[in-house]
Amino acid sequence: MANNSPARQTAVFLVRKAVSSVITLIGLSMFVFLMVKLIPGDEARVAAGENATPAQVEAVRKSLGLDQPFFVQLLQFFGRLLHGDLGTSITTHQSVLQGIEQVMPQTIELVVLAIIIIISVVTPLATLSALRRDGATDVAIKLFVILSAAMPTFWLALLLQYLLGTQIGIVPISGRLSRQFNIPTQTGAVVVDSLLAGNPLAAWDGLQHLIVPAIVLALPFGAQLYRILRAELIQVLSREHLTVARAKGVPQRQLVWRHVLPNSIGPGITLVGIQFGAMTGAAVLVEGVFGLVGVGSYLTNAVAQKDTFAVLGGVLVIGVLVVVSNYVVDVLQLIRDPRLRAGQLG
Amino acid sequence: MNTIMTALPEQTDTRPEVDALLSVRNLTIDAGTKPDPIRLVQDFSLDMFPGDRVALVGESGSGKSVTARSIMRLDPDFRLSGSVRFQGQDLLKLSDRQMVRVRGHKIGMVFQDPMGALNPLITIGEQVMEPLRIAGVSRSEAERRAKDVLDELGVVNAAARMKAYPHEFSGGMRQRVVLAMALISNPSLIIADEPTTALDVRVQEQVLTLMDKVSKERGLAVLLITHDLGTVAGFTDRVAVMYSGRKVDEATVDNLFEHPAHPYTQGLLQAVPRIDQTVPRLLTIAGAPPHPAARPAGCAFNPRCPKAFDLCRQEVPELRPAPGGGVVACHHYPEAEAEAEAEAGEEQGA
Ligand SMILES: Nc1ncnc2c1ncn2[C@@H]1O[C@H](COP(=O)(O)OP(=O)(O)OP(=O)(O)O)[C@@H](O)[C@H]1O
Ligand code: SF4
Ligand SMILES: [Mg+2]
Repeated sequence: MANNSPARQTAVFLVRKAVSSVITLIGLSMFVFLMVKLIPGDEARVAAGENATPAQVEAVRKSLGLDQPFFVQLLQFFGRLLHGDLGTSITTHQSVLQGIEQVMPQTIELVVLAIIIIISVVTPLATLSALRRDGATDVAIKLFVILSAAMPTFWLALLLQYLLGTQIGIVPISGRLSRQFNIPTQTGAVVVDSLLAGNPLAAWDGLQHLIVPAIVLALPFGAQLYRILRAELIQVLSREHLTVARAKGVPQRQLVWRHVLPNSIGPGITLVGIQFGAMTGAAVLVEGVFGLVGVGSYLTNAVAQKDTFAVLGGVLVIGVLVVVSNYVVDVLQLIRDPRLRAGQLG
Repeated sequence: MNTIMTALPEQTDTRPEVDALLSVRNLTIDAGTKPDPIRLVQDFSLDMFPGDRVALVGESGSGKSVTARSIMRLDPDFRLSGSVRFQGQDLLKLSDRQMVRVRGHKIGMVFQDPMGALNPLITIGEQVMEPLRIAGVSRSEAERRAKDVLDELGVVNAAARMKAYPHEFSGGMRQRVVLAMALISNPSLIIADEPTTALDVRVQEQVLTLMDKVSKERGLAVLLITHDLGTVAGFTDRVAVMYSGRKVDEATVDNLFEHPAHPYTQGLLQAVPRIDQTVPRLLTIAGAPPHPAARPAGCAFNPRCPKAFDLCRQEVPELRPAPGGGVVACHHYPEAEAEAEAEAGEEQGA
């Protein structure tokens, strides 16, 4: 009995997921390492610079351990990773980790805002759709979702920029923060730093800069969430326990909040977890249009300049984000469903 | 042939209608889209008095569940007409908001599938307490009453079990929880739609015995839906038989078993599995009931009825007083004879 207690099952589940996360990360790192090795060209020469003499190249090769056998290099690569060393950018000669640290928080800020928008808009829309299934409201919402998802991101970005920024002038056209504000960097995320600095006006300004890019980023992903949530809601709405709940006098509002939504958001949570990684990638385009710095711009530059270490570092960091968000998803599902805690599902 | 008996004092229909707890009149239920709706139930009437135990029987698809759910107005897609008076109030005329206050609080309902009846994400205690919490009862009071009702229903160690989740309960235990949810607000009527069908035989017996005991102790009226006449005998006083969306027969249990009036009821009785009978008797009613969208003309039972004659294929038989008491819808019982009997009954009753 004691061996099957929910607390124990939960712990086992969490440890199991953590182990698989670590294995995923190791796999990803090895993949990244192989990429470095498989990309044609001499790393030592790249690292030493265009004008280095053969002697200098050999010196760099020795100092980077590139003269060692493959497996030793692999181990050394992992050793460096453990110390947070992702190598040095050949263009900026700055450590890749530091470079990414400067841009990552801003991308995360954008993606998190987009996710907040998605969840708070899609949940009521999907619920209304499912409750009025095939009715006029449902059809109208579906149409709206299809249209907004069908618009090409780039075009939509420009359209919103023009309408809201230029024509109506309610939001800034581009950039991250208006000039008059000077906020010390702590986390790297502008809105968060403004709040930490005790400057709500700056936070509001930062949010205004971010809102249109976040909406643009959110739309196609929001459409995905809408579809999966509506389908699951319709499925849950037909379940017997809802009839039973209605028969015991649960009013409609409470029925939806207590018995329908919590039972329907499982697949949605998993989807948003997956979207988190995908949005980090999709942010590239949005950041470009709106003149924002972020992982997107960092990676684009790195690719353009053939800055191998920077590209691979960026990929690895995004990989870590994906793995972490998957872990968060697993924990959320565990909180939601007691059957998972008891080890009955999954 | 039946000999005409005395005025049958147990004939419930002689009680004044105003005292009825539940009085369903000509309940007609349509489903499907407007241009060509499907009539699921036609002119269903039934009276239940406080403490009554009535069985609603019939083969699968005869409309028992649809009728029960419509008394509670559980299917917003159905179009209902007629009247469903409960404690003098026509439920069909209530607003949705008013109806919410009837469900669970005045009429409790128990369903067939206890595995799907509970919300898997919420603890048993929360679910049993929910009707009370909606009614504004304090948490501690609701907890106490939930524990009491679970105790009453034989859930061992109720206080601790209230913190458990549905997946930790067996089918029989879940059905007790569903029953507890239906009982906790002290309703005066319980509608139980095949509450034991999904349980294994030994547990069926337990749950039925429990329902019997609790409803007697509380003076509850029970409408028990089943397609098993075997369960009816021990549990109920009166039986209404449905066939293809209509009530075709109603009688006290004793009369029904001794002198079933309707040919369909006679068939059903022969279909009750009995240890002392050989297998072929289970197959007495050959064929299957018609689909609600494709009923035969006249009496819906005529293609399967051994006693059918010409009139059966032309006219739908009305419900009339049956020779053995109760009512029956069958051309086999001619109007004149039935009316004469009814008059005789009234005179003797007066
Ligand atoms: N929502 C609906 N729309 C259309 N037809 C329905 C609907 N629900 C039930 N029916 C039909 O109504 C008829 C009566 O169904 P009902 O569930 O009341 O039968 P039942 O007597 O309870 O049978 P069982 O013993 O199998 O439970 C069936 O033919 C069924 O297909
Ligand atoms: S009306 Fe005719 S077909 Fe119908 S049950 Fe009576 S005898 Fe049979
Ligand atoms: Mg049924």
